[in-house]
Amino acid sequence: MKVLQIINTAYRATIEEQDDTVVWLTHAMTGAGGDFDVLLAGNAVNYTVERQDAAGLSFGDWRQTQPPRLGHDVAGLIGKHVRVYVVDEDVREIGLTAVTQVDGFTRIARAELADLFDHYDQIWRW
Amino acid sequence: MNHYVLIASKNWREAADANDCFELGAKLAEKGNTVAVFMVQNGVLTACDGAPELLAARDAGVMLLADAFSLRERGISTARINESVRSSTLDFVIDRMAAGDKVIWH
Amino acid sequence: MSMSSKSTLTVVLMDAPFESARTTTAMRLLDIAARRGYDINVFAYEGAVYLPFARQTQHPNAVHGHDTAEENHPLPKDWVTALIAAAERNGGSIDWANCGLCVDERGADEAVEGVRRGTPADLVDFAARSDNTLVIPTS
Repeated sequence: MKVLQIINTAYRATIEEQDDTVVWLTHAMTGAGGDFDVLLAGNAVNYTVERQDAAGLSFGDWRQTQPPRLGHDVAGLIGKHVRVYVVDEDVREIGLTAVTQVDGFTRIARAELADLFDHYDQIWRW
Repeated sequence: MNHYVLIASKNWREAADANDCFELGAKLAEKGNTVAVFMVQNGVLTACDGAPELLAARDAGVMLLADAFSLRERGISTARINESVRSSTLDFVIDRMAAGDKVIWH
Repeated sequence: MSMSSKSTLTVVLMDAPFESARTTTAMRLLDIAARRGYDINVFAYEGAVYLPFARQTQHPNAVHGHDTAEENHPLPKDWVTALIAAAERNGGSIDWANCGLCVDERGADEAVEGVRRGTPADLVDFAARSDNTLVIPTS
Protein backbone atom coordinates (compact mmCIF):
# COMPACT_ATOMS: atom_id res chain seq x y z
CA MET A 1 0.00 0.00 0.00
CA LYS A 2 1.42 3.32 -1.06
CA VAL A 3 0.55 6.46 0.91
CA LEU A 4 1.05 10.12 0.02
CA GLN A 5 1.72 12.24 3.08
CA ILE A 6 0.57 15.83 2.57
CA ILE A 7 2.35 18.19 4.94
CA ASN A 8 0.59 21.52 4.93
CA THR A 9 1.36 23.09 8.30
CA ALA A 10 4.85 24.34 8.99
CA TYR A 11 7.01 25.26 11.97
CA ARG A 12 4.42 23.89 14.39
CA ALA A 13 6.32 23.10 17.62
CA THR A 14 9.50 22.49 15.65
CA ILE A 15 11.64 24.14 18.33
CA GLU A 16 10.14 22.00 21.11
CA GLU A 17 10.31 18.81 19.07
CA GLN A 18 13.60 19.66 17.32
CA ASP A 19 12.04 18.49 14.06
CA ASP A 20 8.74 18.58 12.20
CA THR A 21 6.72 15.79 13.78
CA VAL A 22 5.21 14.58 10.51
CA VAL A 23 8.54 14.59 8.68
CA TRP A 24 9.92 12.68 11.68
CA LEU A 25 6.99 10.25 11.62
CA THR A 26 7.53 9.66 7.91
CA HIS A 27 11.17 8.83 8.57
CA ALA A 28 10.16 6.41 11.33
CA MET A 29 7.37 4.74 9.36
CA THR A 30 9.58 4.36 6.30
CA GLY A 31 12.12 2.67 8.55
CA ALA A 32 9.34 0.37 9.76
CA GLY A 33 8.63 -0.80 6.23
CA GLY A 34 5.93 1.64 5.14
CA ASP A 35 5.79 2.94 1.59
CA PHE A 36 5.39 6.70 1.74
CA ASP A 37 5.91 9.73 -0.46
CA VAL A 38 5.54 13.33 0.66
CA LEU A 39 3.84 16.39 -0.77
CA LEU A 40 4.92 19.67 0.81
CA ALA A 41 2.23 22.31 0.36
CA GLY A 42 1.41 25.73 1.78
CA ASN A 43 4.01 27.14 4.13
CA ALA A 44 5.65 23.71 4.44
CA VAL A 45 7.29 24.24 1.05
CA ASN A 46 9.77 26.36 3.00
CA TYR A 47 11.12 23.13 4.51
CA THR A 48 13.11 22.69 1.29
CA VAL A 49 15.29 25.71 2.06
CA GLU A 50 18.81 24.47 2.62
CA ARG A 51 20.06 27.11 5.03
CA GLN A 52 17.55 27.27 7.85
CA ASP A 53 19.08 28.19 11.18
CA ALA A 54 17.16 27.92 14.44
CA ALA A 55 20.30 27.64 16.56
CA GLY A 56 21.12 29.71 19.61
CA LEU A 57 17.88 29.85 21.55
CA SER A 58 18.22 30.17 25.30
CA PHE A 59 15.64 30.76 27.99
CA GLY A 60 17.36 31.84 31.20
CA ASP A 61 20.14 29.35 31.76
CA TRP A 62 18.56 26.76 29.47
CA ARG A 63 20.18 26.47 26.04
CA GLN A 64 19.00 24.48 23.06
CA THR A 65 21.79 22.25 21.78
CA GLN A 66 19.95 20.31 19.06
CA PRO A 67 17.83 22.76 17.07
CA PRO A 68 15.67 21.48 14.22
CA ARG A 69 17.36 20.92 10.86
CA LEU A 70 14.33 20.81 8.62
CA GLY A 71 16.08 21.06 5.24
CA HIS A 72 18.42 18.28 6.34
CA ASP A 73 15.47 16.14 7.44
CA VAL A 74 13.68 16.60 4.09
CA ALA A 75 16.90 15.76 2.25
CA GLY A 76 17.15 12.67 4.43
CA LEU A 77 13.78 11.46 3.22
CA ILE A 78 14.88 11.91 -0.38
CA GLY A 79 18.02 9.95 0.50
CA LYS A 80 15.77 7.10 1.63
CA HIS A 81 14.09 7.11 -1.79
CA VAL A 82 10.96 8.83 -0.52
CA ARG A 83 9.68 11.02 -3.33
CA VAL A 84 9.17 14.57 -2.13
CA TYR A 85 6.84 16.74 -4.18
CA VAL A 86 6.54 20.48 -3.62
CA VAL A 87 3.63 22.64 -4.81
CA ASP A 88 5.09 24.95 -7.41
CA GLU A 89 2.68 27.86 -6.89
CA ASP A 90 3.49 27.92 -3.16
CA VAL A 91 7.23 27.89 -3.93
CA ARG A 92 6.86 30.91 -6.17
CA GLU A 93 4.42 32.78 -3.93
CA ILE A 94 6.82 32.83 -0.98
CA GLY A 95 9.81 33.66 -3.16
CA LEU A 96 11.76 30.43 -2.84
CA THR A 97 12.97 30.56 -6.42
CA ALA A 98 15.75 32.92 -5.34
CA VAL A 99 17.13 30.81 -2.46
CA THR A 100 19.12 27.60 -2.32
CA GLN A 101 16.99 24.53 -1.77
CA VAL A 102 17.87 20.94 -1.02
CA ASP A 103 18.37 18.68 -4.01
CA GLY A 104 16.12 15.96 -5.29
CA PHE A 105 12.54 17.10 -4.82
CA THR A 106 9.97 17.43 -7.60
CA ARG A 107 7.97 20.59 -8.22
CA ILE A 108 4.38 19.98 -9.14
CA ALA A 109 1.64 22.40 -10.19
CA ARG A 110 -1.52 22.52 -8.13
CA ALA A 111 -3.46 21.54 -11.26
CA GLU A 112 -1.47 18.29 -11.42
CA LEU A 113 -2.36 17.14 -7.91
CA ALA A 114 -5.49 15.31 -9.04
CA ASP A 115 -3.36 13.16 -11.33
CA LEU A 116 -0.74 12.65 -8.61
CA PHE A 117 -3.35 11.41 -6.14
CA ASP A 118 -4.38 8.66 -8.55
CA HIS A 119 -1.01 6.99 -7.98
CA TYR A 120 -1.58 6.42 -4.27
CA ASP A 121 -3.81 4.01 -2.40
CA GLN A 122 -4.34 6.48 0.42
CA ILE A 123 -3.69 10.15 1.01
CA TRP A 124 -2.97 11.31 4.54
CA ARG A 125 -3.20 15.06 4.95
CA TRP A 126 -1.53 16.36 8.09
CA MET B 1 -11.67 6.09 -11.80
CA ASN B 2 -11.27 6.58 -8.08
CA HIS B 3 -13.69 7.58 -5.36
CA TYR B 4 -12.82 10.49 -3.11
CA VAL B 5 -14.37 12.02 -0.02
CA LEU B 6 -12.94 15.38 0.97
CA ILE B 7 -13.89 16.47 4.48
CA ALA B 8 -14.22 20.26 4.72
CA SER B 9 -13.93 21.06 8.42
CA LYS B 10 -13.10 24.76 8.20
CA ASN B 11 -14.61 27.88 6.72
CA TRP B 12 -12.61 30.44 4.75
CA ARG B 13 -13.16 32.96 7.56
CA GLU B 14 -10.91 30.92 9.85
CA ALA B 15 -8.49 29.44 7.31
CA ALA B 16 -7.52 31.12 4.07
CA ASP B 17 -7.09 27.78 2.32
CA ALA B 18 -10.35 26.30 3.58
CA ASN B 19 -11.99 26.34 0.17
CA ASP B 20 -9.05 24.65 -1.55
CA CYS B 21 -10.75 21.31 -1.00
CA PHE B 22 -13.67 22.43 -3.19
CA GLU B 23 -11.20 23.37 -5.94
CA LEU B 24 -9.43 20.04 -5.52
CA GLY B 25 -12.78 18.26 -5.60
CA ALA B 26 -13.69 19.98 -8.87
CA LYS B 27 -10.38 19.00 -10.45
CA LEU B 28 -10.71 15.40 -9.29
CA ALA B 29 -14.25 15.25 -10.68
CA GLU B 30 -13.17 16.76 -13.99
CA LYS B 31 -10.66 13.90 -14.27
CA GLY B 32 -13.51 11.41 -14.08
CA ASN B 33 -13.36 10.56 -10.40
CA THR B 34 -16.39 10.31 -8.16
CA VAL B 35 -16.06 13.02 -5.53
CA ALA B 36 -18.00 14.10 -2.47
CA VAL B 37 -17.19 17.06 -0.26
CA PHE B 38 -18.53 16.49 3.24
CA MET B 39 -18.79 19.71 5.27
CA VAL B 40 -18.53 19.37 9.04
CA GLN B 41 -17.85 21.65 12.03
CA ASN B 42 -17.45 25.26 10.83
CA GLY B 43 -17.11 23.89 7.32
CA VAL B 44 -20.91 23.79 7.13
CA LEU B 45 -20.95 27.60 7.13
CA THR B 46 -19.61 27.41 3.59
CA ALA B 47 -22.91 25.80 2.67
CA CYS B 48 -24.60 29.02 3.76
CA ASP B 49 -22.38 31.55 2.01
CA GLY B 50 -22.48 29.94 -1.43
CA ALA B 51 -18.74 30.40 -2.03
CA PRO B 52 -17.72 30.44 -5.71
CA GLU B 53 -15.52 27.40 -5.08
CA LEU B 54 -18.52 25.48 -3.75
CA LEU B 55 -20.60 26.38 -6.79
CA ALA B 56 -17.75 25.44 -9.13
CA ALA B 57 -17.46 22.08 -7.42
CA ARG B 58 -21.20 21.58 -7.85
CA ASP B 59 -20.88 22.41 -11.55
CA ALA B 60 -18.06 19.87 -11.88
CA GLY B 61 -20.33 17.15 -10.53
CA VAL B 62 -19.09 17.01 -6.94
CA MET B 63 -21.63 15.74 -4.42
CA LEU B 64 -21.99 18.34 -1.68
CA LEU B 65 -23.02 17.18 1.79
CA ALA B 66 -23.28 18.94 5.15
CA ASP B 67 -23.22 17.22 8.52
CA ALA B 68 -26.70 17.42 10.05
CA PHE B 69 -25.37 17.67 13.61
CA SER B 70 -23.02 20.54 12.73
CA LEU B 71 -25.91 22.34 11.03
CA ARG B 72 -28.22 21.81 14.00
CA GLU B 73 -25.47 22.75 16.45
CA ARG B 74 -25.21 26.13 14.69
CA GLY B 75 -28.95 26.65 14.30
CA ILE B 76 -28.73 26.38 10.53
CA SER B 77 -31.94 25.18 8.92
CA THR B 78 -31.88 23.55 5.51
CA ALA B 79 -33.55 26.72 4.20
CA ARG B 80 -30.30 28.59 4.88
CA ILE B 81 -28.00 26.28 2.98
CA ASN B 82 -27.31 26.35 -0.73
CA GLU B 83 -29.78 24.24 -2.68
CA SER B 84 -26.93 22.16 -4.08
CA VAL B 85 -25.99 20.95 -0.56
CA ARG B 86 -27.72 18.00 1.03
CA SER B 87 -27.90 17.36 4.77
CA SER B 88 -26.16 14.10 5.69
CA THR B 89 -24.55 12.31 8.62
CA LEU B 90 -21.11 11.00 9.51
CA ASP B 91 -22.37 7.53 8.63
CA PHE B 92 -21.66 8.57 5.06
CA VAL B 93 -17.96 9.04 5.89
CA ILE B 94 -17.73 5.68 7.66
CA ASP B 95 -19.59 4.00 4.76
CA ARG B 96 -17.15 5.43 2.25
CA MET B 97 -14.13 4.58 4.41
CA ALA B 98 -15.35 1.00 4.66
CA ALA B 99 -15.80 0.95 0.89
CA GLY B 100 -12.18 2.01 0.41
CA ASP B 101 -12.67 5.55 -0.89
CA LYS B 102 -9.75 7.94 -0.56
CA VAL B 103 -10.88 10.06 2.37
CA ILE B 104 -8.91 13.24 2.98
CA TRP B 105 -9.44 15.61 5.89
CA HIS B 106 -9.15 19.34 5.21
CA MET C 1 -14.88 -4.60 0.34
CA SER C 2 -18.58 -5.01 0.92
CA MET C 3 -20.03 -2.60 3.44
CA SER C 4 -22.10 -5.44 4.92
CA SER C 5 -19.00 -7.34 6.02
CA LYS C 6 -16.93 -6.45 9.03
CA SER C 7 -14.53 -3.64 8.38
CA THR C 8 -11.29 -2.60 9.96
CA LEU C 9 -10.63 1.13 10.10
CA THR C 10 -7.73 3.17 11.44
CA VAL C 11 -8.04 6.74 12.66
CA VAL C 12 -5.10 8.95 13.53
CA LEU C 13 -5.75 11.68 16.08
CA MET C 14 -3.52 14.64 16.92
CA ASP C 15 -5.48 17.15 18.97
CA ALA C 16 -5.26 17.46 22.73
CA PRO C 17 -8.60 17.34 24.55
CA PHE C 18 -10.62 20.49 25.17
CA GLU C 19 -8.93 22.29 22.26
CA SER C 20 -10.76 21.57 19.02
CA ALA C 21 -14.08 20.59 17.47
CA ARG C 22 -12.13 17.87 15.69
CA THR C 23 -12.10 15.80 18.89
CA THR C 24 -15.88 15.65 18.98
CA THR C 25 -16.07 14.77 15.30
CA ALA C 26 -13.44 12.07 15.74
CA MET C 27 -15.36 10.54 18.64
CA ARG C 28 -18.58 10.64 16.62
CA LEU C 29 -16.87 8.77 13.78
CA LEU C 30 -15.46 6.20 16.20
CA ASP C 31 -18.89 5.80 17.80
CA ILE C 32 -20.49 4.93 14.46
CA ALA C 33 -17.79 2.37 13.72
CA ALA C 34 -18.05 0.93 17.24
CA ARG C 35 -21.83 0.56 16.99
CA ARG C 36 -21.32 -1.35 13.75
CA GLY C 37 -18.95 -3.75 15.48
CA TYR C 38 -16.00 -2.77 13.35
CA ASP C 39 -12.44 -3.44 14.38
CA ILE C 40 -10.98 0.00 15.00
CA ASN C 41 -7.40 1.09 15.42
CA VAL C 42 -6.59 4.47 16.90
CA PHE C 43 -3.12 5.95 16.74
CA ALA C 44 -2.97 8.94 19.10
CA TYR C 45 -0.14 11.25 18.14
CA GLU C 46 1.11 14.39 19.86
CA GLY C 47 -1.49 16.05 22.12
CA ALA C 48 -4.06 13.35 21.42
CA VAL C 49 -2.25 11.09 23.89
CA TYR C 50 -4.02 13.14 26.56
CA LEU C 51 -7.47 12.06 25.33
CA PRO C 52 -7.40 8.89 27.51
CA PHE C 53 -5.37 10.52 30.33
CA ALA C 54 -6.65 8.92 33.52
CA ARG C 55 -6.28 11.96 35.78
CA GLN C 56 -8.83 14.13 34.01
CA THR C 57 -11.36 15.28 36.63
CA GLN C 58 -14.72 16.97 36.60
CA HIS C 59 -15.23 20.35 38.22
CA PRO C 60 -18.09 22.63 39.29
CA ASN C 61 -19.06 25.54 37.09
CA ALA C 62 -20.07 28.69 38.97
CA VAL C 63 -21.01 30.51 35.77
CA HIS C 64 -23.49 27.75 34.97
CA GLY C 65 -24.62 27.67 38.62
CA HIS C 66 -23.79 23.98 38.79
CA ASP C 67 -21.93 21.91 41.34
CA THR C 68 -19.68 19.13 40.08
CA ALA C 69 -22.47 16.56 39.84
CA GLU C 70 -24.89 18.92 38.14
CA GLU C 71 -22.28 20.14 35.65
CA ASN C 72 -21.31 16.54 34.81
CA HIS C 73 -18.47 17.87 32.71
CA PRO C 74 -17.51 15.66 29.76
CA LEU C 75 -14.14 13.98 30.08
CA PRO C 76 -12.63 12.52 26.91
CA LYS C 77 -11.11 9.66 28.95
CA ASP C 78 -14.69 8.55 29.65
CA TRP C 79 -15.51 8.80 25.95
CA VAL C 80 -12.56 6.52 25.18
CA THR C 81 -13.66 4.01 27.83
CA ALA C 82 -17.25 4.07 26.57
CA LEU C 83 -16.18 3.61 22.95
CA ILE C 84 -13.96 0.64 23.79
CA ALA C 85 -16.88 -0.95 25.67
CA ALA C 86 -19.33 -0.21 22.84
CA ALA C 87 -17.05 -1.76 20.24
CA GLU C 88 -16.64 -4.91 22.31
CA ARG C 89 -20.38 -5.09 23.07
CA ASN C 90 -21.08 -5.03 19.34
CA GLY C 91 -18.54 -7.68 18.46
CA GLY C 92 -15.76 -5.33 17.42
CA SER C 93 -12.71 -3.91 19.09
CA ILE C 94 -10.68 -0.77 19.60
CA ASP C 95 -6.92 -1.06 19.68
CA TRP C 96 -5.87 2.37 20.99
CA ALA C 97 -2.14 3.05 20.76
CA ASN C 98 -0.71 6.19 22.29
CA CYS C 99 2.54 7.31 20.65
CA GLY C 100 5.06 6.42 23.34
CA LEU C 101 7.49 9.29 22.79
CA CYS C 102 4.57 11.74 22.77
CA VAL C 103 3.49 10.27 26.12
CA ASP C 104 6.97 10.59 27.59
CA GLU C 105 7.56 14.20 26.65
CA ARG C 106 4.14 15.21 27.98
CA GLY C 107 4.15 13.08 31.13
CA ALA C 108 0.89 11.55 29.96
CA ASP C 109 1.70 8.04 31.14
CA GLU C 110 -1.50 7.34 33.06
CA ALA C 111 -4.20 6.19 30.64
CA VAL C 112 -7.54 4.49 31.09
CA GLU C 113 -7.80 0.73 30.68
CA GLY C 114 -7.59 -0.50 27.11
CA VAL C 115 -5.03 2.05 25.97
CA ARG C 116 -1.51 0.91 25.22
CA ARG C 117 1.80 2.44 24.30
CA GLY C 118 2.69 2.40 20.61
CA THR C 119 5.28 3.39 18.02
CA PRO C 120 5.23 4.58 14.39
CA ALA C 121 5.57 0.91 13.43
CA ASP C 122 2.14 0.33 14.97
CA LEU C 123 0.65 2.91 12.63
CA VAL C 124 2.30 1.21 9.65
CA ASP C 125 0.86 -2.11 10.85
CA PHE C 126 -2.57 -0.60 11.54
CA ALA C 127 -2.76 0.88 8.06
CA ALA C 128 -1.61 -2.32 6.39
CA ARG C 129 -4.29 -4.34 8.19
CA SER C 130 -7.11 -1.83 7.66
CA ASP C 131 -9.60 -1.24 4.90
CA ASN C 132 -8.91 2.44 5.26
CA THR C 133 -7.09 5.03 7.34
CA LEU C 134 -8.13 8.58 8.11
CA VAL C 135 -5.71 11.14 9.47
CA ILE C 136 -7.42 13.95 11.38
CA PRO C 137 -4.69 16.57 11.56
CA THR C 138 -4.25 19.37 14.02
CA SER C 139 -3.65 22.86 12.71
